[in-house]
Parts: sequence; structure tokens; C-alpha cells
Amino acid sequence: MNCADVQNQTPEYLEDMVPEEIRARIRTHLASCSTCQKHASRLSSFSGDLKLMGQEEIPFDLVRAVREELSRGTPPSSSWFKKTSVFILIFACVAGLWKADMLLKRDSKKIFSEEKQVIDDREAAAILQKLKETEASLERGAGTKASKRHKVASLDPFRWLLKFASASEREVFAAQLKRVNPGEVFHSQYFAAFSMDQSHLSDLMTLIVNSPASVTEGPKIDLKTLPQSEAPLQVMLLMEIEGNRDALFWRQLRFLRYDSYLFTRRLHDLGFKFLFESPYFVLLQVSPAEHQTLQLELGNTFGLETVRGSGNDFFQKNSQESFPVLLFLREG
Amino acid sequence: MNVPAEDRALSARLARNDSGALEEFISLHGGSLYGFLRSALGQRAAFAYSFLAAAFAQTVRSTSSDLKEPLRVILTRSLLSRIQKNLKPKHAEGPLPGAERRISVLFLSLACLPWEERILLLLRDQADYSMEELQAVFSKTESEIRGRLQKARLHFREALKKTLKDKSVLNS
Repeated sequence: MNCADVQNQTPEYLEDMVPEEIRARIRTHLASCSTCQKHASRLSSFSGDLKLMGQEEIPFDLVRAVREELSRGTPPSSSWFKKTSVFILIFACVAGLWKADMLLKRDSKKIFSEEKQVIDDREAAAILQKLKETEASLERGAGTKASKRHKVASLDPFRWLLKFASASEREVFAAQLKRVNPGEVFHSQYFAAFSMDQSHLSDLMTLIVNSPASVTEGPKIDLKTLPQSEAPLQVMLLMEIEGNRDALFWRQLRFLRYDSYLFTRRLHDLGFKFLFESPYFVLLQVSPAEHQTLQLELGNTFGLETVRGSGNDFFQKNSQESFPVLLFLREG
Repeated sequence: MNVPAEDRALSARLARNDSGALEEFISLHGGSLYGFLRSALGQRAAFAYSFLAAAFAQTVRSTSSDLKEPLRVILTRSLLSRIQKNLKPKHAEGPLPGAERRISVLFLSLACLPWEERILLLLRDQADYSMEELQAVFSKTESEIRGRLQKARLHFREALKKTLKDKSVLNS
């Protein structure tokens, strides 16, 4: 038996899964070969390290998280509830069927007229074809930059505004985000920007769903229908506390007859420091003086409308240090 | 299944909402289960954190003076079912950022195992679950558990062997 044979069978040998005859030969070889001995001891010592690896301190906020979970109330699970639920479900089904039957009998004309609104497969295929043609012509005619941006357009609907009841709730969530770090681009107390792949997006959605925050803005969180994209997805989380709108300075901008690309170019020319830039949002680090310039630009740029935003100007004006400003860009 | 007397006492205290009972329960099992999550899920462990809290809460809700199974079994079963349902873990993420090289090797090797083998191996060899507890958690017979465990250990050692050979992984 040579060293390669022995090393190949070492896992089985250590697990006592080799016949006695081979076991004896391996034992003999190990007694005389220091290389294979070293190899075997490395394999066995690593499994002992599993224990060390599992020694973790209890997360500091676990007791609080369990208490919050408990305070959300007990889901009803008594047999009475189950029986009643089943009864209600059966009743609802029967009632639904009866109603459908009645509708069919009484108002078949209406049903048929509604049926006309449903498109068939051929129509759907035609619409899809038309969309593809439009997309292709847009890309052909719009030049490199525009076509690039057009492709990104379908990838950036992920902006969620989360509202927490208290600062401590937000802290817990932010701590979880920090631990996860799914492709973090920027992270502060008030918002976080990520560039992540699809698997991380579903994980992040799960984290949001299971957090105590209420999602007041953003696309519907549906773990079953995730976006199909090979490119990294850009995700922005705004984390506000109920009733406190001073902390984060952000603005949602709409460009009516002005290209958002030109606007960001102007900000570059004016010397603003960009922490992050995409066709859909930019993150700036601004000093109080730059903040005033930015306000002027926002007010004076033709075809630019500030749709909404948050952040107290007084708070920002009195700030001595630079602070981040988030701008969401939308056209049309 | 035999329920330890301490578990019965703690369960009764939890059911009565005694002060300090919840903290004691969490200090008994929180650290080891969090360690288990980190080993089993790598970077995704933080996503499972809320499930850990929910599993504790569910176990507390189900406690009574007439405990049928050890608290740790109820807790682990609840935690695993939540992870399975919500995270659908097939592959572990990479090693935790900043982990020592030796720990990284373990993470990388564990990540090669199928989810069921990974959690069985970790519960037995890391968290010291007894065969009886594992039978209760997975609802399997003792011989089934033994067979799966042996396979898991074998696969783990094979994965270790490969990881140790792959120097590029270690240097990364």
C-alpha cells in the first residue's frame, strides 16, 4: 500500500468503515510513514475543532428579540379554532360555488362580455413581440449610454422605506444587516445601499418580513417571484423611526424635460463628492455649504421637480459636519 | 423520551412566567444554537437570527408542567423547520469574513455537505446532542441516524481532504 492509497482511504479508516484486512494494512503503513500520520491527524483534529467553532456568545439582543416575539401574541391554535376554521373554509367554498353558479345562470351575458377582456395566447404573443421590437429600436436609436441605462432600468425597483416603532428596534435590525452584509455599498444608521445577487435579495426580503418594521413604501415583497437578473441588484433601505423625520435627508426627484444623467453630470462638475451613483439614485456626502448649493440646484433646474422627501432643513443647516444626502431620480 | 428534571422545572417556571426563567432558558441554549447556526449557514446565519428568536418564543409558548420532550429538542425542531421553510438552505455561504484560516477550512468543508448531513453532523459533533435527542428532532430511528451520521462524517472528512489540498482556497 503506497501513500496515495492510504491517504485516499483515511476518511473511511477514521470512520471505521474499512474491512479489517485493509484497516490492518493502513495501520501498519501509518506506523512507519510520518507524512501519512500527519495527514491522518490533520483530518481527525479538524473534526475536533468543530466544537471550538460552535462556541459562540449569546447575541446581546436575543432576550429582547424573544420578548418582542412573545409580546406579539399567541397565534390561535386550539382545536376549537381549528375546527371553526375548517368549517368556515368549507362554508366559504360552498358559498363561492353557489354564487358562481347563480351568476352563470342569471347573468351569463355579463360573464361573456367580461371574458372578452381576457387576451388569448396569440394576442399575448403579439404584444410581447411588439414590446421586443420597441425595445430593440430604442436601443438601436438611443446610443450606447442610453441603451445601457435602459437595461439597468428593469433592475432597480428595490427601494424600501421601513418604519420602526423605536430606535432600539432599528438598532436591532441594523445590527442584523451589519452581520449579514449582503454586498454592502453604504451603510449608516438611517439607510443602507446594497449591490447584491438574487439569492441575497430573497434573504434580505426574509429579514425584512421578519423584522418588526412596517414597510411603508417599496415594491411588494414576494419571495416566490424574484427578479431574474444576472447583474447585481441595487437595493436601498431607508430606516425611519415613527414620528421622527429629521434624521435622514433624502429627496425624490422627477425630471420632466431634463435628463437625470445631465443633472448628475452637473453635480459632478460642481465638485460634489459621490459616495454612490446609479441611474436611479445617487448618494452624496455634502458639507453645509454644499448643501445650500444643492438646494439652489434643486430649486433652479428647469424641468426638475422635487416630488417628496424627508429631512429637516434646519437640522441640516445647523450641522457643522458633512452628512450624506440621498437623491432618487425618476424621469417622466 | 426521558425529560431531565431541570427541564421540567424550567418549563414550569416558563409557563408561570417566572422572573429570570426566560433569561436562564436563553443562556442555556442561546449560545450553542447560535454557534450551530453560524456553522451551518455561514454568512447567512444572521438571516436566521430572527428564526432563533421565534423558535425560543414558540417553545416558551408551548411549555407546561407536563413536558413530553426536552426543551432543547422542541427548540431545535422549531428552529430547523423555520430555516427549512424560509431559507431553503441547500448550500452554505462562504466562510465568515475575518475568520481564521483553520475555521475557514471547516466552513468550506461543511459547505460541501448536503444540508441534512451538515446539520446532523453539527448537532452531534459540535453541540453534543445525544442519539435519543437526534431521533426526536429528526423523527428517525436510531439505526437511520447512525447510518446518516456515519455518511456525514465520511463526506466531511473527504471534503476536508479536498479543501486542504486546494491551496488556492486557503490562500484566498
